Amino acid sequence: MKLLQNSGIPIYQQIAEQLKADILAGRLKEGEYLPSIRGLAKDLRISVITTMKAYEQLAQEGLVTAVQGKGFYVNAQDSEMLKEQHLRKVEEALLEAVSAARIAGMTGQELQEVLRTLLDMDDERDNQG
Amino acid sequence: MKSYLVFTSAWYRLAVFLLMPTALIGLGLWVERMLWGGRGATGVIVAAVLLPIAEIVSDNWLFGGIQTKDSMRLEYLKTSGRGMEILRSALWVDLARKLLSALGIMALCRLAGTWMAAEGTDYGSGIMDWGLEAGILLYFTLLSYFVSTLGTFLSRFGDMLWMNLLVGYGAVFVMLFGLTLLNLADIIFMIDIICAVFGILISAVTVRTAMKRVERSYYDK
Amino acid sequence: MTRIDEKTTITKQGNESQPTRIQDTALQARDLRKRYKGFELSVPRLALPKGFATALIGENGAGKTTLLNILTGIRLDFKGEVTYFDRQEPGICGEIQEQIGYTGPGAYFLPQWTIRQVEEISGLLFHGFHQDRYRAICEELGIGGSGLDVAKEVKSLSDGNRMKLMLAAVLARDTQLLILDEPASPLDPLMRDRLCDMIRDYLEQGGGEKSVLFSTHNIADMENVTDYCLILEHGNIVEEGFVEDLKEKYVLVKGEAADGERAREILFSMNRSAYGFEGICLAGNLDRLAGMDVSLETPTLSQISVAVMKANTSLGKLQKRA
Repeated sequence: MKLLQNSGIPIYQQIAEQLKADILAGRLKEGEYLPSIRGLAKDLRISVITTMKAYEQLAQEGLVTAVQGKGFYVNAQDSEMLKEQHLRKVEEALLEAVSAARIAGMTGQELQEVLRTLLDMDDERDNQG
Repeated sequence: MKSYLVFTSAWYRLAVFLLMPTALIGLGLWVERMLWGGRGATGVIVAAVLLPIAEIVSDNWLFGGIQTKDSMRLEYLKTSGRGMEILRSALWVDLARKLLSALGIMALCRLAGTWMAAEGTDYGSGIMDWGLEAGILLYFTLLSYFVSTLGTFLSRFGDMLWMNLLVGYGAVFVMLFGLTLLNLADIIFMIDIICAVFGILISAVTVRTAMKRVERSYYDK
Repeated sequence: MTRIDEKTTITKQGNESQPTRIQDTALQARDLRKRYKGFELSVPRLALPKGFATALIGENGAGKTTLLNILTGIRLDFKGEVTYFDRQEPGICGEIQEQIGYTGPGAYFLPQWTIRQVEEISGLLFHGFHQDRYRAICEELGIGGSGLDVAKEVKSLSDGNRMKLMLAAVLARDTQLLILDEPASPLDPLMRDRLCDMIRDYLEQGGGEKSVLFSTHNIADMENVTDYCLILEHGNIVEEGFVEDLKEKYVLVKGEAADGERAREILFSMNRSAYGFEGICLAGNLDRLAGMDVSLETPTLSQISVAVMKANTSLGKLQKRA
């Protein structure tokens, strides 16, 4: 897990997002328990409040469920709902890109080029992985 | 009793229960031997005069500095509900020990001294009047106890060893002065009672002052 | 599909969540007041969250030691009341003190005590003192057994070793609350790290029942183990909260020198040089920075506490609480 101290994103959110990615990608299986709040805090050398908040966020998003005395376990993922969430995110991000491209004076063609290059770079990175 | 044991380190106990009595009694008897006079009383005199300084100096390792102005001492004791009790019982046991030590050392010196004198030549005086004997012995004991306790009380206001030494030297002089009172041998029991009273007073003052000092550190500033 | 608003680039990312409430408390205090010459400690309300490590941050002379002395029960002349653990009645007693482990500056032990004597006295003073645990911790910290001669007197120990001794003595006991006054100060950086781990272990062992309160004038050392913060300035608590909430309430703003003057009005506190300015801003005030070229970061506790303390020492009462 890579956490950036100084970005504008709160650490608990970074944790939540990285765990979320793991869950959605199947690296954390349904029914599996997340590391304990204190254990994770200890390993990451952060306050237990931070990990608590991260887990709470995941619970709010429906990705995990809290069990009194035992911890948080991964929920079965409703792939439809999540897919839709992510689709929306993609649209939002692309819309931003389109706006920026307009401002920069890029053509639609150039924009697609950039997209292709980025996808290729991402594939390469996964393969090196 | 236990609290006294924890306040005293092994070295201290060794010094106080073994070294000090042996040294004092030994010295006393040695002087007795050299001087060969005084009806077996020289030893006691020497022991009595030197006992307070030994007590006062050794106290530095026990309760040294317990009455200083530094109000942050003994915080460890204050963090426990039992702390005060433990301090108090350690102080009382220490006083009792001083009294018994004094009595023991004086008695041994005197007995050994008279035994030696009896073996001697001309004087050959054993114990004639047991009543007087007891009275004088008691006097030595109570006087040295009083001076020791007063001395340790005074020296506990500072935690530097030199202070203990200083008070100790003073104690020697007080003892010597006190011994001149032996001239009043007939009212020895009266003197004993006076000494006992003073002894009790200084004991109470010692414990009370130390306890009050620590208690006061809960307040003020 | 949501519209992307131009303004969103300047608002801080993250949830606008409510500050976390304290659920269970290790102790609560009300109307604490203590007056010295020219100084008054005044804490109308204090709640220590249970199961967490709370940092009491403040400059030297802000009143940290006084507050901790009051909470530990070694200072009794104060007004107000303190209620411990789940008790109904306020006030401290021997039973409660048995559950509190305190370390502090100053002459804690009699200087002529030896390490061995400390062990014996601890056993006598506290029921829940475990000799084997004490020895193990001493060994681990390098002050017992093979580390140091147990006949060594306290006065001959270095400050760091004396601190380790105090820590060993309190950690060897069964306690519910640790109150540590400036524990990091006499320790070297490696040992400070160790201290953070020890605090973490203590909390973990407690399973949410044990709590730690420590004071520091330099929060950077202990930041990674701090869960809850109390910032004390001139005898008053000027800010408190869980770290995550504080990190959302305050933002680290960096900008161009030219905007410095304008920024000074808006920021809580600020540093300025020829190259630009940097300061702490209340998240709620961020929109007032619109139009300026700034970057936003999450501040560290250290930065937040310095800003808050600075703001409270400057003249007048600053109505900066969001």
